[in-house]
Amino acid sequence: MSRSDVFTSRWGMLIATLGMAVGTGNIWRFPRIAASNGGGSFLVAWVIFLFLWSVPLMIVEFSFGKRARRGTVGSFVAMGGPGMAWMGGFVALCATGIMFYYSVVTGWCLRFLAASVTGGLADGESSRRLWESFAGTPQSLVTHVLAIALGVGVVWFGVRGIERAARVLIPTLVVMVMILAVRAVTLPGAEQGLAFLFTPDWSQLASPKIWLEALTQNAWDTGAGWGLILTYAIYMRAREDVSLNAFLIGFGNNSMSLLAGIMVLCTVFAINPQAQSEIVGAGNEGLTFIWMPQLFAAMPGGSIFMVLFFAALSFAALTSLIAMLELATRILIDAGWKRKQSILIVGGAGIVFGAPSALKMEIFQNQDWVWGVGLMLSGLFFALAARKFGLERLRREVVNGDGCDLPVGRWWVFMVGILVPVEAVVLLVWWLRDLGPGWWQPFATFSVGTVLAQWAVALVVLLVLNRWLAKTSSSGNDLTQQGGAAS
Amino acid sequence: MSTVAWITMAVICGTVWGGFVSLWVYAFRREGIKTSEQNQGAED
Repeated sequence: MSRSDVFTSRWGMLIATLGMAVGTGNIWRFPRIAASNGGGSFLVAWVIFLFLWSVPLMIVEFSFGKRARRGTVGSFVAMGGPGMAWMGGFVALCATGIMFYYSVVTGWCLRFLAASVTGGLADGESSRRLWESFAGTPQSLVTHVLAIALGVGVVWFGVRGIERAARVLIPTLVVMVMILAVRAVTLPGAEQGLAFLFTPDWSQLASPKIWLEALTQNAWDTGAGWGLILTYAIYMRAREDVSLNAFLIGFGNNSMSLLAGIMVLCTVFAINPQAQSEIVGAGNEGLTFIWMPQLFAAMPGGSIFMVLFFAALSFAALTSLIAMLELATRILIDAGWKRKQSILIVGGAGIVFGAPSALKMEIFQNQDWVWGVGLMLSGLFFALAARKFGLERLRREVVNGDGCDLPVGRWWVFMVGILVPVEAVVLLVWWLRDLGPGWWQPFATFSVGTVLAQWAVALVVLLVLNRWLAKTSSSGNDLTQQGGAAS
Repeated sequence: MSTVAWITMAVICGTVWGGFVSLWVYAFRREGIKTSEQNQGAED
C-alpha cells in the first residue's frame, strides 16, 4: 500500500470514520425514537447499549481492518478462514443494499437544501407540496444520480479524497448542529422539549420494548457491524490504536445524536407543542421533510436555520454514502480491479439498483426494512468470525498489540463471544416476530417473508460462490506485505 | 422542568459529551507521546 493509501493522521482517520457513523439516522431517527419511547428512560438504555453492542463490535471491526488490510470479504477470509467468505459477502451485500437506497435519501436532502436556499420552503405548506410532488417521481431519480455522482467524485481520489472531504464536511456539520441546538434551546417554551426528552419514566425500563429499541438504535446509527469501520481501518497507520478509536467513534456518534435530539424536540415543543405527538409519529421522512420546514418557517430567522438544518442533513448523509461506496469499491480492488474502474462499476450499480427506490416509495421502504434488519445478522457474523480467529488472541495480538492506547480487559472477550451473539439473535427474533396474516408473502413491503426470501437468495448465492469469493478476495495487491501503513 | 429531569440530563449529557471530550483529549496526548517516541527513535 503506498503512502497515499493511508490516512495522513489519526485525526483524519477519526473525522472520516465519524463522518461514516453520523448519518441521517442521528438527525431524523434518534429524536423520534427517543421521544416515542419514554425519553429519559430510553436514553439510559441507549447509553448502556453503547457499551454492550456498539463499542465491542467497533473494536472487532477496527481490529479486522488493521490486521487483514482487506475489505469485508477478504477480512473474513483472513480472520475466520476461507469457509467464512460468504459471511463477509453478506456484510458487504447488506451495506451495499443500503447504499442503493441511501443515495436516494441523500438526494432528498440535497433537493430540500436547494429549496431552502432558494426560498422554496418559505411558507408552512410548501414543504408538504414539495415532498408530495417530488418523492417517488423522476425528479427523485435525478437527485439520486447527483448524490451518487458526488460520492463517486470523492471516492475516485481514494482515501485522501475521503479524508479531504471529511475534513471540510464534518467540522462544518458539527458547528451547524451546535448552532441549531443552541437556537432551539433558547426559543421560548424549549424547556418543555428538554423535559420531554430527559424526564425518565422508570417503570418503562421494565418494558423489553425500550431496551430493544435502544439496542436497535445503537445497531443502526453507530455503524457498528456494517463493515464500514473495517473498510476505513484498512487505511490506518500501523501504529494506530484500536480500542480508544472505537470508544471515540461511539461517543462521538452518540454526542451528535443527543445534540440532534435536543435540537429537534426543543424546536417542536417551542413552535408547535399541540402537534408534538403528530410530528413525532410522522415517521422519518414526515418529521424531516414536512414538519421541520414548517417549524422553521414559523421561527424568527427560520429561513437561515432551515438552510443550516438541510445542509447538516446533506453533509451527514453524504459522508455516510461515501463510506458505503468505498466499502463496495474496496472489495473490487481486493479482487484485482483498479480503483477508478471499481468506483465506476459501483457508482453505475448504485444508479441502476437505486433507481427503483427513487421511483417508488414502497420499494424504498421494503429495502430499508430488509437490509436494516440484515444489519443484525451482519453484527452476528462479525462476532462469529472473531470467535473463529480466537477472541483472546485477537485481544492480545491486535486490540492490545502495537500502537494500543487503551488496553481492553477480558470483559471484551465475554461481550463479543457471548453477549453480542445473544443480542443479535434476540433482535432478529424481535424484529421478525410479527407472524400475522400474510407474514410469508415475499412481495409485501414489510412482511417477514420478504426479509427471509431476499436474505435466502443472497445467502444461497454467496454460499454457492464461497470458494470463488475466498479466492478472488486476495487477487489484488497484498496490502499487508507492502509496508506502506508502517508509519 | 423537574429536578429528576435536570439530574437525568446532567448524567446523560455528562456521560456522552464528557466521555467524548475526555477521550479526545486523551487520544491527543497519546498521539503526542507516540510522535515524540517515533522522532526519538529516528534520531537514535
